[in-house]
Amino acid sequence: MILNLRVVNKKRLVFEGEADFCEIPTEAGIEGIMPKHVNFIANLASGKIKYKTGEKVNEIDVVEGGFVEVGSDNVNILLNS
Amino acid sequence: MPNLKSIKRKISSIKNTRQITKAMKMVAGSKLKRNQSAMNEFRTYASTYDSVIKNISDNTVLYSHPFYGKILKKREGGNGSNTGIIIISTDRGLCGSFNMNLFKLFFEELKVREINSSQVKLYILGKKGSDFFKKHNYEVVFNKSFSESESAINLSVLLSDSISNDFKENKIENIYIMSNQYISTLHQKAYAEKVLPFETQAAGKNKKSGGYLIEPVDYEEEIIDKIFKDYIQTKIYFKILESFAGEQASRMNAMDNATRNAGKLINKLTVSYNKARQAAVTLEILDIINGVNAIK
Repeated sequence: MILNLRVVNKKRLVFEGEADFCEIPTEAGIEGIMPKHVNFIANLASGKIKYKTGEKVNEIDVVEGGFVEVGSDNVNILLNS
Repeated sequence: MPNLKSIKRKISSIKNTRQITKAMKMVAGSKLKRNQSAMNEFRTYASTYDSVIKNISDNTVLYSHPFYGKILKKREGGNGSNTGIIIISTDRGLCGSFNMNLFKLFFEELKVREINSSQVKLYILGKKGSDFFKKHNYEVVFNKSFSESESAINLSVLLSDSISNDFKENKIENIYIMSNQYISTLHQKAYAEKVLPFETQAAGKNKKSGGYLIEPVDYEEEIIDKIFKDYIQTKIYFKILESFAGEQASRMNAMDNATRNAGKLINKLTVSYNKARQAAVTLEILDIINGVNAIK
């Protein structure tokens, strides 16, 4: 099982691809998301989105907030910048 | 026989026109490039937002939000079924049939959806649209031109606030947005889309179970409300960008056609000018020869 991660901001597609695990800074705290996570919506707080594919961990900065929607292993992150 | 001088004058005036249309084409071309890239940049965001809202709409749990139709039917004490229509037109003319196509679509949609024109409330962006619909005595609730407001994004925020408030207060029951869709540089199509209430899947089978967990739970409604409002704003903003790009593309084509037509006209007039000149020369020679013959 893998996550389909899609990160966009208002200018471009930041990342689209598969990830084994991701960590998202939300207003309610940092949220770790693995496959089969419950459907989930939250606003983003500033911080770093981390996602892991294989052994590699990548990071994306969240500057101006946005929100995340998780539904049946699809993670959509919309950034406000 | 046409007058030589008048033809010459005509040719030079058409040449002037051709120069102007050529310049306008260039200007539209460079603006098109800018607007096109702005539209393409925003497209991924808008389409991702679309799919997120569609995911949410497949879920039953959030139907309590006023933006879904179900609640609305229960409070049917409202004042009839007013329909709000957002029209995104342009500020300036000389862009071919760009605006006319939009207005034609408007009347067609009224007929198809059996909407009474007295129950239509219009939200108009762009000067051309407001001029047109004021002349036809429609009720215009919201009316702004692009040149008056500082930026398209502010305009979209204003408009989305106004329609979501009107919708929540039950002043309008349906909202459509009509704008020109940008398909390619050569092709723009007037297009109507329903904005509110959100479409939900009617059949129970396709509904996913589980619903959504919204965090922090205490602010659940605010978060969803903001997401939905932003969605409408995003949608309107994208349509505006699309309309901008389409306008310039349409203007470029119109001006290209005008330039070409002017060229054709100039050729035609030049031919008739040469003919007339030749006729005049021949006449003069005939006169001289006749004169010489008379002296002999």
